Amino acid sequence: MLDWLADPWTSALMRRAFFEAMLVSGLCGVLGCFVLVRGLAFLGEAIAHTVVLGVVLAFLGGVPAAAGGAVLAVVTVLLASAIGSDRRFSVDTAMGVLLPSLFGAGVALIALSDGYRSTLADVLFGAILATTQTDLALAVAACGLTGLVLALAGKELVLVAFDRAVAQAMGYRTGLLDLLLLGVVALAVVVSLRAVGNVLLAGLLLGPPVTARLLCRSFWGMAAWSAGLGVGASVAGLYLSWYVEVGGGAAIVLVVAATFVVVAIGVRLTGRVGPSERRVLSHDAYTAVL
Amino acid sequence: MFGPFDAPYMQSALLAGLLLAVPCGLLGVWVVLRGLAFFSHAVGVATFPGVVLGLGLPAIGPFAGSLAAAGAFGVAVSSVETDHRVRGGAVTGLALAAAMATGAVLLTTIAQVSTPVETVLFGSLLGISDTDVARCAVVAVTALGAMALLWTRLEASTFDRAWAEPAGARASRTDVLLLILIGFTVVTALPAVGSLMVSGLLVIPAATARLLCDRLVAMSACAVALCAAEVVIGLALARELDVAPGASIAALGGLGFALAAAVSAARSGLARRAPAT
Amino acid sequence: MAYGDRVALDEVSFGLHGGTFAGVLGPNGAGKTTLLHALLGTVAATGTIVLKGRTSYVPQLTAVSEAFPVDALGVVLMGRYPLLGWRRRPGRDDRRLAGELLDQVGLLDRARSPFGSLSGGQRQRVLVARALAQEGDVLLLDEPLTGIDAPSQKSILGVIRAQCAAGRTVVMTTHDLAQAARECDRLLLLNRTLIADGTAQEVLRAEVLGRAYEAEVLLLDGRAALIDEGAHHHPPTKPGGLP
Repeated sequence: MLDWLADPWTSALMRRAFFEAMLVSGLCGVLGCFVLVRGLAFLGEAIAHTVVLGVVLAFLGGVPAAAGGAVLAVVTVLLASAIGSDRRFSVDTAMGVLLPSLFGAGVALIALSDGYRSTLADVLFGAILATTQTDLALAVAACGLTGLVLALAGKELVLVAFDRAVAQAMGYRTGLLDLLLLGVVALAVVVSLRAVGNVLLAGLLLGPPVTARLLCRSFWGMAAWSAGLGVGASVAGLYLSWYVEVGGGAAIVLVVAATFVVVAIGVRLTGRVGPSERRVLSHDAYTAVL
Repeated sequence: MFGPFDAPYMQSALLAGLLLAVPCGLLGVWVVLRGLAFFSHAVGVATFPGVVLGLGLPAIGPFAGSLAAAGAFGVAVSSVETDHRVRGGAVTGLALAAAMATGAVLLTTIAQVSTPVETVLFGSLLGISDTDVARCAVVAVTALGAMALLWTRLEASTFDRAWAEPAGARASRTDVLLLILIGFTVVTALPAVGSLMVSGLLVIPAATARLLCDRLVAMSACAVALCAAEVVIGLALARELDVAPGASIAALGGLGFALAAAVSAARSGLARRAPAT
Repeated sequence: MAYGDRVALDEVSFGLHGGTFAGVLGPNGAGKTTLLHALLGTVAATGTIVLKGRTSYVPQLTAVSEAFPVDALGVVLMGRYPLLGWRRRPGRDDRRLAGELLDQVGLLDRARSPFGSLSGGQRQRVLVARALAQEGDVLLLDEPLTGIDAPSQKSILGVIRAQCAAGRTVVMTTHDLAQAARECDRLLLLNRTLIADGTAQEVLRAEVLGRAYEAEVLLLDGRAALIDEGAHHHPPTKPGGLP
């Protein structure tokens, strides 16, 4: 048993993969809670795709990939906010326009630049075993920066998420706080690409928070649970990928999804949700889906 | 004389694309007006494991596989999202990532899949069979018929649900029909543009049309025309540059949207500068 | 009438003649909107509701999508849709009627303006015209006068008067006691149940109002004024939440 547990850790590649996965899933777990309560799931998904254009442009321009990705993430947020502020469009439509067009441009550029073609699969599904020391350092830096932002402005960010109008009335600069939040989310997305790739990233960013949301009522409790679930799922996912030989990113996301399904069923069966709570707002949720 | 469209496979792709412009443009209008862009994107992505399974097991085939995956996704998400605590698309996001992960695992476990993953995700010019063209035609006709029947209900319930429901629009039934139509359109468009790019065909032309038109009928016509134009130019570009058609069509659509936004901004700027009457 | 196990309205019993303009009053959560929904048949009610003819409805303004690509005339034409059924499109007669109704609410010159470009009061007038296009026998309005400009209020009240004169029944919910007293023939005071039913003189008395509003009513010079006003107006917010 001990051998079974220790075996993956004997490989240096796997050790780095474990650290990388735990760092980015903890980071995504905490920031995903903001994404969840702000209803920004599509924004997270859109950024995860549009950064590909930035990564390719950075490769062609010979600058670090993370820098290119970060620039495109910020560009996406600014464009989405500009289109979404048009009376005629929802933020949903803005993202619906930006995601395919910028991602499509990125994919087309990859096809046009021969040198990059072979790595498209890595961009899509991640290549966690190829984690370098630089990747790890970036992930640590992103975690540190996010920790700093949350320590300084955490409660203000929660306040804005809960009630924008009141926060504004209290004199907070909500636009600045939004930018701060979206900045760290964009950072988290960029550093997580290595681990899970852009098509799987939504799972890491949204899965642990929705699961945690079912388990607790307070925001910070949810963030703690979410980070824990993310780290746990990434460790379990990497064990899975070591022994069953499936891709690391895919395995992690499948563990995350399975955890959500189990918790959702468990919560429904044990009735931890008050029936009144569920019913009163369910109509709202329905219109949100449709 | 056809230029990039001289090869027979290009003509199939062109025909399929032009037929697809009808349902994509017509339904895209409702996708934009009702805020269903994330849903459309997610349905497209969610078909990925179905396509992989269908390619791996010829008895199923990619069409049936993707249709089943899209249906499973719709049922799964709508059954979970009634819980208000997890609304706002988070479950949709988790479900689409889980679908992608399943597809990725299936790709490595079902060895028979010879189709490159890029083809599944971003479409291919070569993969359009006569059956695909026929399916596009069926979906185009179905969408036209459905729009003729549902138009007034969709219009009334999208504009003001609180009024339409008592007035007899059967809003929730109309919603479900619309979602099913979108699902069928997405699945039919997959061979041409791929799972990841299909929302580009639905959302971008309709959003561009919204920039240019202030009436619903004009917007719908404009969306179909733009969709057709983007398909024709995008397919030609894909052929000339040797890139995936889904990517070229979506990138071209983004360019069109940016141009239309500039036109619209210039127009409203002129209107503002004109003396008030 | 109940939502789940919470009874929203209990023991409400009243009758209205054709040509009556009834105002429904009551504090927040009293069940005013629920009463309208019961009359529309969109919530299940135990007991009997006899409604002669069809209903026309003006919901609260907040639910309307201002981004929808439609002009004022198009909105009024939507009122014809329930009468047209599945396949028929609005014809020339429908357009003429819609034009006349826009004229009645004083917005004929804005017929081709996008709905989203109209002011709040103008939008409400267009929605009233849409309800009139339904040609129902009973017109139900949910707070049609809340938060809109005085000329629009006057225009809508004029239209309501004309409807009553034509023999139709009008039921309107409102928070404005003084305006209701001035304009309505009949007042229904609700708070989970029917507290009072009658003319302004009968209903707007301190002890009756006190039962409905509990401590929320202030009497100034013998006239009732509501304290909790302002708590009713929530500015419509766009979902999505980007800066």
